[in-house]
Amino acid sequence: MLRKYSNSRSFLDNFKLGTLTAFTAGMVNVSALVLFFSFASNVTGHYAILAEEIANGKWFQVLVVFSWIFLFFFGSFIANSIVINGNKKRVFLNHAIPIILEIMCFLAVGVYGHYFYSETLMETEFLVAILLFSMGLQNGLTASISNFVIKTTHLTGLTTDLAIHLSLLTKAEYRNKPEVVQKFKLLLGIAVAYTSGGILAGSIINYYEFKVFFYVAFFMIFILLYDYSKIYLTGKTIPRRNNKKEIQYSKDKSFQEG
Amino acid sequence: MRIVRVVYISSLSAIGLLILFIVLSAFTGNLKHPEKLITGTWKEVSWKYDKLDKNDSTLDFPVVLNDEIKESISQGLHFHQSETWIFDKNSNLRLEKKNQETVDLNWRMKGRGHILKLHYDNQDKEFYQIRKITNDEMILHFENDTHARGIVQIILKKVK
Repeated sequence: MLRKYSNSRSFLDNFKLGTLTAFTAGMVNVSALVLFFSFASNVTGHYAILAEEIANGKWFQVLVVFSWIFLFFFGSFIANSIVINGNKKRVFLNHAIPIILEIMCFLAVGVYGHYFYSETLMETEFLVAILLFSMGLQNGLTASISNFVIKTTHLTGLTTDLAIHLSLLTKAEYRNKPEVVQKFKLLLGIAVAYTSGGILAGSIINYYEFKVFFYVAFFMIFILLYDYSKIYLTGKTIPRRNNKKEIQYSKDKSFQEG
Repeated sequence: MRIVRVVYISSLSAIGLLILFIVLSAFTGNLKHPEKLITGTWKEVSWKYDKLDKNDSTLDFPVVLNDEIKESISQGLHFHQSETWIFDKNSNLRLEKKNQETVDLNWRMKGRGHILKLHYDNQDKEFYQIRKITNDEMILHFENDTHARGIVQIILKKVK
């Protein structure tokens, strides 16, 4: 899942990475909605709210929402910076660092929420900010290492792509193309995983409250350890491609699929 | 060299973030925080329906709610029959009713300051959307389907 980069990745690598991370994203988003009355990954919605608050002249809320959007942006920036600037011989480590940062964010929110949270608005705003940063890290990492095939929290784009691929499958010439069928399965898998994560979180959040973030963190640790165990068992990682070839590939791919 | 570059980019990003937070803090110092805006004494001015399934002409009850409808809608809610809402900065809310009776609750704001949470000792939570809050007016929304599916607006004016 995390060991491979760009077009070294198989459909199964992308499917496992996409569904598992989307499941946690769904859990985090619904948990944030129930606990804080704010989405942790719906950046499209935050842009709309930002515009509405500007129009209404609510400048305090404008600054809050702007900093939330910025932190999502910053998380994606950090994730991709680590991936492209890290040591090429240590691909797993480069890909694991954003996940480790994400786990630290979940643990920070879980520990603070469970032991110290007194429900002030400022605490709420900071905790939502940390979650948006973590979702930015996740989305940036998954998009970066999958050559922009996976975006776990971008459900608007995913629903559009899902509809497009479903319509492509109505024609026999596309049904016979494995890449179209696989992309459809991947998108459907991410949508189902995200929704399932949301349903699970929605079902347990009132009972477990902030402890849900511990479970999400453990789930992410499991993903890391699972992938690390594969390296340990096979004893090698698959080297990443150089950037020049990767850009060429992404162009070709978009033309093929577009 | 790569480690140096990663450290350089991370440091630059951290400095950028720090500057952003300083600028935001400076700005927010000059802006009124929603928790400060809500602190004080508020008097209920009117209740009315908003965003109903039916339009005004086909309704068999008034859009601006009378005491009888208010009574039935607010039955079971914390602010039932209250007229004056006193929010203090320690998150205590005292509701003064028409018959001089008082009810003490706790209040919290959620989201970006657009949700008002009322509760008795963390039990019986109620949530209201703060549609508008200024120095002298607050509009609260809550969903209701007692008479028709729609949103009830409570308009309060600050008196102190």
